[in-house]
Amino acid sequence: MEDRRIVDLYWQRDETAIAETENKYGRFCFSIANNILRNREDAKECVNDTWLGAWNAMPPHRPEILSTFLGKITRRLSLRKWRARTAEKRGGGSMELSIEELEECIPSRQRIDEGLETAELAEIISTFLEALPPEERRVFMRRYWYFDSIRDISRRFGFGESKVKMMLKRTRDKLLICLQKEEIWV
Amino acid sequence: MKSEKLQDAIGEVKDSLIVDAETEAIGKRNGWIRWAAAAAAVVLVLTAGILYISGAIGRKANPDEKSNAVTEQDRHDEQSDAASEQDHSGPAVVFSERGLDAEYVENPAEIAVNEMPYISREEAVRNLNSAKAVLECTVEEISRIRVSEPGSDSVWFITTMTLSLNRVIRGSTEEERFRVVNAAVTNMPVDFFYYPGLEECREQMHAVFTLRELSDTDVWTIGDQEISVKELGDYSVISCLGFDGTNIQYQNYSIPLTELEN
Repeated sequence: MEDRRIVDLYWQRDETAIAETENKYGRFCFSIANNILRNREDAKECVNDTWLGAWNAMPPHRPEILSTFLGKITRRLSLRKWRARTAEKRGGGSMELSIEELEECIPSRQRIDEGLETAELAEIISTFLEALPPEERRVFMRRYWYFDSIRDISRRFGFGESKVKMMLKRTRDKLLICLQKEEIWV
Repeated sequence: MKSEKLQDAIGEVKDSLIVDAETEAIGKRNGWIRWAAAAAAVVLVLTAGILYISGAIGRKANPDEKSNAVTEQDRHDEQSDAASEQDHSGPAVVFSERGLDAEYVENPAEIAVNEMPYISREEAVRNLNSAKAVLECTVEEISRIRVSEPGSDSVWFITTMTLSLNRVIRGSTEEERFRVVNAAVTNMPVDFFYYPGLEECREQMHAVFTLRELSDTDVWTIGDQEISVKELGDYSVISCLGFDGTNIQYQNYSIPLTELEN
């Protein structure tokens, strides 16, 4: 079923919208959730919560791209669950590594302004990513939006793992410079 | 905590960037999938050829042996008899009788969750137009089996279905019901190979299927065992697609029936 039709079903409060969404995007959302949580049961729960979130958001929302709309909900829910689950026992996993990598992007002895809205920061990062060479941008997105492992990224793009790591390192360095220039600090 | 804020912000980047990251993988994967398909086809053809040649040589050397040979039909009947005696009748028997470790699985999506096979729109149209028939069918029965290949990390993931015909979309058929089969293989050495859409098939689902007729020379080699694909079905099914009456749908694109050749 076309996305537009699925969104119409949500607006009509037709519960088949959820079945159609699950049929079309269940695997996509599960993949995102499982990349973050590495636990099938938790991932399934987040995907089910995604359908609930979509049901509650439409209407009034009418997403232009249903896949990214759902993916963002799944990502948010999964991160929230992951943070709650690991609040007291972090270290070692793929997600932790991803977070540690991102910390390199934050200007030293400074911190991202707590008052800065996530949306504003997202806008800055979007502009930064749009200016990157396509391959570099896509590898960055695979790692930090989809939370793919280095191995998965290297297989996906046909690069060696060391090349992927090097690309990510360079992109993080560039992001650090970008955030410094934007004076993203207190 | 500060990196979490950065993580959250990355999550809210423009949709076009998210789609773009997915699109790149599609392009790369397409080439990879084509290569995998070609490799699988080569394996199939080579195996069939070797079997044919060795069979022909064997018959020449021992002409009397032919009368004692187990025919494909005999083997099929034997499998059918054995299958009917088991709770999970059917495909798993074919493998277990050859000493292969076969087990039924409920949800194929759990087999390789990070793999998101994709076929481009152009490729999908090409597949639809090159199939023997494109049919709208109802899934009457479906079985999914995982077969571990002895002595390797490879896993065969095999889906068999019985389909009942609702409507012929392209091509022609005299049949009303179809036994179909599909396989995916991990680490072989082409890694995971899966036809798109089939993992979502379930009983009583209406969908569009593209069928290719199987021949006696279609053989899968699993470990040191040769499995005649015709033991599992009469047709290989290469996709299971959505249909709204005028458009065939797969993931993010739809293909109007007008694009199909008669």
